[in-house]
Amino acid sequence: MLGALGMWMMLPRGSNGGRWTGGLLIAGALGLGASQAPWLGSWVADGFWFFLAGVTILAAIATVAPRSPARCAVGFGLALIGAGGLFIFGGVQIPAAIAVAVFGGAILPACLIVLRRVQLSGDTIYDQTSWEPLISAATGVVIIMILAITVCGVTARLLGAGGSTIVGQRAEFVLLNNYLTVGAVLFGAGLIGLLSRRNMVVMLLSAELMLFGVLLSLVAFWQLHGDFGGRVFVLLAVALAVCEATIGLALIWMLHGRNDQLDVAARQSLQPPRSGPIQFYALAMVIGLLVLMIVSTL
Amino acid sequence: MTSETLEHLTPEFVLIAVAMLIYTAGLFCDLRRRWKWIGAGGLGAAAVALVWSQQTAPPEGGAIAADALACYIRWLALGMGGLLVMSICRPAAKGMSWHVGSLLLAVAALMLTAGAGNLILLFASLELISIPIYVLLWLGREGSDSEEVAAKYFFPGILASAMLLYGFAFLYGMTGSTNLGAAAGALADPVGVSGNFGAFAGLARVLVFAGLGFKIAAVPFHFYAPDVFQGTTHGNAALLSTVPKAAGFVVIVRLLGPAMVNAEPGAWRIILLTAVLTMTIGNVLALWQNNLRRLLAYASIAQTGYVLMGLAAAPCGGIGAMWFYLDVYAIATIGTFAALEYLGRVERSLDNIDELAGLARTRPAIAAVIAVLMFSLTGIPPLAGFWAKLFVFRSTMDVGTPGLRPWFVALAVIAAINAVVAAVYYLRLVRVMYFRVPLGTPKAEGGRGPRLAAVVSAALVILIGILPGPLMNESNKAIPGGAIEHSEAAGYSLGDLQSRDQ
Repeated sequence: MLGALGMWMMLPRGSNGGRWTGGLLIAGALGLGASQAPWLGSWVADGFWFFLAGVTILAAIATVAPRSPARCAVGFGLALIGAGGLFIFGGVQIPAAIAVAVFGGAILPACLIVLRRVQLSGDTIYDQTSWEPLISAATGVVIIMILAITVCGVTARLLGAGGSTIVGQRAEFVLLNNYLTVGAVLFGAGLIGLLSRRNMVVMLLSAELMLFGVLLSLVAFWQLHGDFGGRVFVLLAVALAVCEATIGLALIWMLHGRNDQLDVAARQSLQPPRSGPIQFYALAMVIGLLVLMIVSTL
Repeated sequence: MTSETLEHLTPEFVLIAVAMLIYTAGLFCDLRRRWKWIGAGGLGAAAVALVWSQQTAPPEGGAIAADALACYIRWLALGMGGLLVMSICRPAAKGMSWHVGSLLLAVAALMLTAGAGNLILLFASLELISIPIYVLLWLGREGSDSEEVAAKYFFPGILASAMLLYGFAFLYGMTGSTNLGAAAGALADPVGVSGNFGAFAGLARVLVFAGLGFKIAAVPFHFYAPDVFQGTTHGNAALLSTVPKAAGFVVIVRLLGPAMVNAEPGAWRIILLTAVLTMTIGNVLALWQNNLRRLLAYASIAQTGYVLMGLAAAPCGGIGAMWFYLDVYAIATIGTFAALEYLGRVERSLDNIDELAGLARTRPAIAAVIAVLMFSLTGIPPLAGFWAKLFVFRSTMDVGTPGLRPWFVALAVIAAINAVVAAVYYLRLVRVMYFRVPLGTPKAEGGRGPRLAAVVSAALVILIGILPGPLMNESNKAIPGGAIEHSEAAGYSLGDLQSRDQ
């Protein structure tokens, strides 16, 4: 089932054609995925949680897929809000507020400022095409699958021990593995974006999306264990993500100052021209990660 | 934080304070090369503080791990920092103060990484190493090259940070605490420690190793290294090839060390495979490089493979061999880059192998220094590199666990073949210097600092080659939970495990 989810998500190619088909397939995949997730207590809580989760995931895809960087930024904001709702659902209001405020208030406007300075419409060649969309999407989806399967496997064991894992104050509503799966999906979506998009600001947004997915998992674990270290970890992760984003934006600003465009592959001036584009490096890293995973579990 | 923790961290505070001072003062006064001496003074003060701070021990199981490993790496960091500060010569025009300040911050962050006992502090200090490096890379060269290399380091770096943080998140989820000892214990014995959450161990292990693999430039996370090294100055390349590597290895030893000593299957398979791939690919691709920095980048990738081999042989004292190797490699590499920096001109540094031709006739002293360092990196007796390789090989051959022995013998054979391949390109440099007709005298406008750094490195290499004993003893003690503060907090100190095996 999760395999079906994976396969169907492969289809929306970064910024090329076939948007509507891709969208429908993703919707179908999400529906299938949701039907696999363990149901919670009451209908109302279920519906609300899945609605929030769905919004977050769709917004994550909206951060990665659209052609116009402005729409990517909007998608990122929407993902933030959806995830903030998930946080509040789990009972962690203050970190939710901090994370949303920090990410939304700092990173997002900064990205928008850079975009406004350069271009906003998404007409340029490097926004229209993406880099090896099939491989990137496939790799990202494989990673999501591995993460989701591991997570569900763990929780299945816990469920077998009797009762569901209780998380947060609204204890009867949420389950650990749902949070972790959503976190994994965000991580994977960000990964796909980082691997396949060529616009540097969108790459940065995707990286922040990845970090946000990690943050979601951290919050879930913190609620599971309930110790103080988790709270510090969450806050520090937010702070560090913002630091990286700041330096990244400054770097992008400097880089764009040269050629007045945001394409990451625009300058390959190092000789010999054997040096490859950044996406190749990142893709190689991720494939290496997968290989190592396979090797370590043989 | 208790006052003992603060006192223990005095060296780092000193370095950070001096760095901040240099950053702000640099906006107002233009001291040019004298920043280097202020930076060196800061490092000296930090060394004094380090000696003084060893007398106070922070509380057990707290955020700081004050064990032998931490002490060793902090001294190593200061030593590397000293050599690196000497080897900065350009850019004199812009941002010298930022250069020195960033260097000091990176060294301070390395020391913090070594002393961190907590996942949170560890992640923060790892990021603190990366961020000054982004700045340094941007300052590195005039023209568009520097921006491209900064982007080439930044985006894969963010990917690595995200993977690392995800791994740390899983570690925290498994153990419920952010203590490093607990995390390492969970990786060493997943089912036993965390019960049902043990399934996360595989994910955590691989994600953490992937994130750290970027820092140590192991295959397949090494791709940024040749381009970044080529596009930046020799001084920055020296920094990149030592400080993040040391940091990455410290974290790997802390987290995966107990797992390796127990020869836990997932962990040693990963390390073994990565060691072999890294050595081989690094060596083979270095064979046909003509650009000096690119060649040395691939060479340092290959050296990472040897260090990983030492880690793989952890059940038999491999970790001590690993630190010794890392030390010697760091000294030799910084020395080489410093010598090359010295030989360059103000507008343009030395890029191509051909520019080294006939150096023995035009500048014999520097040629001799470079030759000594090349011999050490190859592993020719009686220099330090020979002892380093010998110790690593001996640990590998000593691995006696029945099922593993064939693998380790194979590893040793592959490593030996690789050493021969490495000799080809290292000695090629020596051959070019001594046996080819010079194309002209290199201007050698690098300044006295890099020359001093190169000479000191060569001297150290010869000294350690004659007397490897003391350094080896210190390296053997540098395991998590080692001599100074025997940490029973997690119950997984390596001393216990090794004595249990015997």
